[in-house]
Amino acid sequence: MRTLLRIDDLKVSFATAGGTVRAVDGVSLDIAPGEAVALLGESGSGKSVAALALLHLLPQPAGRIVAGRVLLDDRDLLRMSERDMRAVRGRRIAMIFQEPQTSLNPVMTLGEQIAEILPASLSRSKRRERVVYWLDAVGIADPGRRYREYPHQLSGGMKQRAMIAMALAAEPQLLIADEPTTALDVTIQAQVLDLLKELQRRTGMAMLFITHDLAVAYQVADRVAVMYAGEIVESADRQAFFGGARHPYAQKLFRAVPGRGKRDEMLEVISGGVPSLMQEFRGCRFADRCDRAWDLCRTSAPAWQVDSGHGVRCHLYRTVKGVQPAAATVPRTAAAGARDASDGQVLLQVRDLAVHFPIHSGVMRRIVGHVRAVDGVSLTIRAGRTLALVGESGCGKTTVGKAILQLVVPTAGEVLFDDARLDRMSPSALRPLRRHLQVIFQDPYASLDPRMQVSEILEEGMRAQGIGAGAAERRSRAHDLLGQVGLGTEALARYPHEFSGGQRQRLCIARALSVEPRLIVCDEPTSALDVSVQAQILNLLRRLQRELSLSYLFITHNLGVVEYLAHEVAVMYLGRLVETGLAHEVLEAPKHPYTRALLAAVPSIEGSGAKVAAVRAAGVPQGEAPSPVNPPTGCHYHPRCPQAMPQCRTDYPGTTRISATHWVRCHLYPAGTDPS
Amino acid sequence: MPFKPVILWTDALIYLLLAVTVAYGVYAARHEHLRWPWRQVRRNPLAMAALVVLVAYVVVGLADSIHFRMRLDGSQTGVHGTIYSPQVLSALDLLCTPLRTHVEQTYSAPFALHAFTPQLVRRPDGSHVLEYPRLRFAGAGLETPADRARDIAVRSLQAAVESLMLWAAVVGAIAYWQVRQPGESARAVFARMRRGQTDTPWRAMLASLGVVILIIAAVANLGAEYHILGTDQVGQDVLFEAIKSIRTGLLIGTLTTLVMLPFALVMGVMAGYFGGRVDDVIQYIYTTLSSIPSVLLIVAGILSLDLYMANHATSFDNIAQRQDVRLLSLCIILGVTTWTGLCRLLRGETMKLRDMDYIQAAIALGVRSRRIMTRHIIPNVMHIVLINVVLNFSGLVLAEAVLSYIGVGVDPSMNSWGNMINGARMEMARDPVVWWALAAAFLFMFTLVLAANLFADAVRDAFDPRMRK
Repeated sequence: MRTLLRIDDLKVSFATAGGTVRAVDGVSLDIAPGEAVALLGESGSGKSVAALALLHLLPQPAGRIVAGRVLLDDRDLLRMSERDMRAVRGRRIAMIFQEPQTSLNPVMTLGEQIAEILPASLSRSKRRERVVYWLDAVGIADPGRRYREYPHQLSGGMKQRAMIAMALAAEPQLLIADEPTTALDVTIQAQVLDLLKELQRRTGMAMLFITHDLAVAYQVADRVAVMYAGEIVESADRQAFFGGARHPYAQKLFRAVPGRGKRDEMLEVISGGVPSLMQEFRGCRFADRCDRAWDLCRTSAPAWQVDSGHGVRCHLYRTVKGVQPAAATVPRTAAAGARDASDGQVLLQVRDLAVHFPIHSGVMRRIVGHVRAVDGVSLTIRAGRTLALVGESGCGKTTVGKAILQLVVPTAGEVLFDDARLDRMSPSALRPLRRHLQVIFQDPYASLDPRMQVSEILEEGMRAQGIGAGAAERRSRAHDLLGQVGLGTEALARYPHEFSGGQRQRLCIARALSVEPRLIVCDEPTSALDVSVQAQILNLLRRLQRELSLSYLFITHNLGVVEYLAHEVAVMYLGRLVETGLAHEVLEAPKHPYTRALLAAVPSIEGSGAKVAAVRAAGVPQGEAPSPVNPPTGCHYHPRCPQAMPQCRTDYPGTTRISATHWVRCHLYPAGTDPS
Repeated sequence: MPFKPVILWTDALIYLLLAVTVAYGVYAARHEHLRWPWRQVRRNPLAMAALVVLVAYVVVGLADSIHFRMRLDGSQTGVHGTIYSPQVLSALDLLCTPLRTHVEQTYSAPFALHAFTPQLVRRPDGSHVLEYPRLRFAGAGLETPADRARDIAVRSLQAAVESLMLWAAVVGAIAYWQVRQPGESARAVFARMRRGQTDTPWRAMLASLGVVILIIAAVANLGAEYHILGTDQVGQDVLFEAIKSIRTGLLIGTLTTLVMLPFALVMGVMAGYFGGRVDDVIQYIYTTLSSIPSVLLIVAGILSLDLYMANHATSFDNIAQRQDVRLLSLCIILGVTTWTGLCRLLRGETMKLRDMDYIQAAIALGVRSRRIMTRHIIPNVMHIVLINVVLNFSGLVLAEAVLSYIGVGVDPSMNSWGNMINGARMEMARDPVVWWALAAAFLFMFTLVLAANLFADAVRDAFDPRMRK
């Protein structure tokens, strides 16, 4: 097999104040023409650094390529001058980045930016023609008009498409995609992944796809290479890898992904964290976190062994080639109980909640319209149960959470907590009730005050709510809280920046628990975390629910998490709920076309049962969610709905009850009984 | 008692400021998030060299802020108590006694032995002749004026030797102090310092300290015998005037900030946190204030103060008090005109912080607004305050010069660089030109502002999160 790009023993280090960090430590990888290779790894594994090093794009002066070769058609890119690299970058190897918002120059039109990378020898009109061709090829409607538009006029998905067009316009032989869909919604992610696959097939280019998401790798890759702590620990064809990963790390990753199949068990947790890359490793880098490590693993580094194209760096495969070691015994704690009881006491009831944000315009700041972020949402949360609120970003799900917590003032509707009207209360009357309703946010880095010690963070709520008689009692409660979320008590005197993302999220949970709440609004608490850390947090949330009979309002777009955790599911689209029901009802027998589309869009490695196939047939939703300033007439979903009927354009559908707990708002199901 | 302490208003505020600074230092040393950026500053050689210069200025300024009245010679403790001189002196005045008391008739050039302007002198034979009279104090110990060059050379050499010895002692002491491991010798530490391999940039700091010591030694050796920077119209030593002006400059640069800080902090944070009506009112206030030309406001303020002092002459029993009140009110008026910039910055930052998740979480925990502002927001905007304070300092020092130049600055009788420059207006028009007063003011002000700017840059780099790589 011919190779297009051969990475040979690449080593990259970073000089930091604390010492030298060997971010990439001997990575070798071949990419054949037309092949899609997924480089899979958690954050900090060095996968992005390796890709940046190929193109001489390491942050200077800290980053340094220590050793290795990168051969592109027998020329070593690492020995090339900056001048020669310019001919390689963009033309032969193109790159797209994670954040489309910052990758485009805001003061240049889209057309100009894409035309920039075309050869200057082309005439103006020729270049324009090419740009329009590529804009069309990446599925941007009306490319002639978009050519003259500026980045702020495009949506996030459209920008990422534009970035892809820019990368492809020079017809590179290799496209490096660094987490290109991580910042996008599931539906848009599905579209972009399909597009990349399609373009790759058409142009025959090779692709190096960097991702942390197993399911995304499954969708795009021909071959998968798993990186851990600066090394590649496993590399195999997609079928072989997803059929049976060999390295204990990869196996653990698979078991850490939440999903329907794991509902009744604890998720596999990879204990500890990625080791510091400042040290010299003697043994296997994964040994400390591996439950199958033995003495040899700690004393000698495993060699790279290949067996029929499936390479792995692990001592388990040292002696007997090709023999699959017996599957490890995974401690599977059953998480049964309280799972089917649907008759918990009603804790929180939301009726016709609406939150409209005024849009001001002009000198006099006149109100010219409203963003209908939430437009009539009713839901019920019972004690000890989890309600998952799912939807694309911008559908208003976070605002629902904040309105329930009275962090934003609802425009209309009722929020009843234990028969108390939260939305009618004065701030001072509300304050004592706040202890029952707590919140955990998405970004663990923004949700802890960097200037406060952990002890102050944990005791603040207790002091405000008058919990704990004195300073000593509060301190001992803070001790207990840390134990509850699995952190050591030495954390009390430390500052948030000393903790990793997962540990910070634990601190946020501890802070929420400090006032003994009964309901916690979890606003995408795991979406900023790596899979293995996500598993720890989900396990923790679940354990706490059982022990303290907490209720959760779980706001997320990750349906795997929903399948794993939720008792009930509410699907939200453009400020309104379109379908609500028990988890199995909604996830296994989705009624609303939007729910089906959402389920179809989720990349999955779990069983491809008939149900999933049927859902897939519904197709990935086309286009993007419209703005909540001017929602479409009739059913909000009709412009994207493949089953739209004339009626859908004029009337908003009423509620149709499918079962006692399951209802949907769609004209496909003619009005039955009203649920209210 | 041979003296009676006098505490002027500005002295009290200076002591307060010193106490606040020390308290902040102790607090910062205990908090990692504050210690870390200061450690960055400490590693910056240029900033630390500038800091040595700044400290020298501050020491002079502080020595000039210890005021007292001496007991009058010959007075006895009687029924009326001890009688003290009406003249308020400072510790610095005592240290610089020869500089202060060696007052000539009028102008004389640097190191001159004769007056700068010719005078009509009556000869013993009765004829009148125009000549340059010998100065009363400069070179008084010389036998003939021809010895001047040799004398200056000897004194300079003496100063150089003295300063070198002192400097070597300091270097040795620091090297000894810096011995970290038990095995290491002070000599090895010195070698590391010389190669610039120490964590704290001792090489740069000691180099700049050496220059400071050399200058002090030179002034001590030469100042008593010559007017190093000449004398002014009334025969005052220009060097002494420039040194006395240091306190004025430092006070304007720091007290102004101290005065405006509470306004800016409280208003800015409140406007940003509460938004709505509160924000509207505060914005209205500072927009109005900042649209009045600040010079106009200052002129109005100073003129009405002048009028008040003229009408209540008895309340200000000595010249030092009058100068002091005027200086303080200038600080206040400058503060009123400069707080709006910081207030606006703080409002913006607070609005950003308000939407941070940890503030939202605090609200959800039921924490009261006042506590959120004091415990969460203010600590998180302090870096802006600090950067603003150090950046403002040099601007205010320069502003004093400009205001005194146009006659609305400090009291005309007070030593300040602005007044020196104002006086130089006439001197520059003379022929031959009297350049030394202007040069002295320029040199002192330039050194202070340059050092302050270099230090401020390093502080901003260390504290501004956007500057971090």
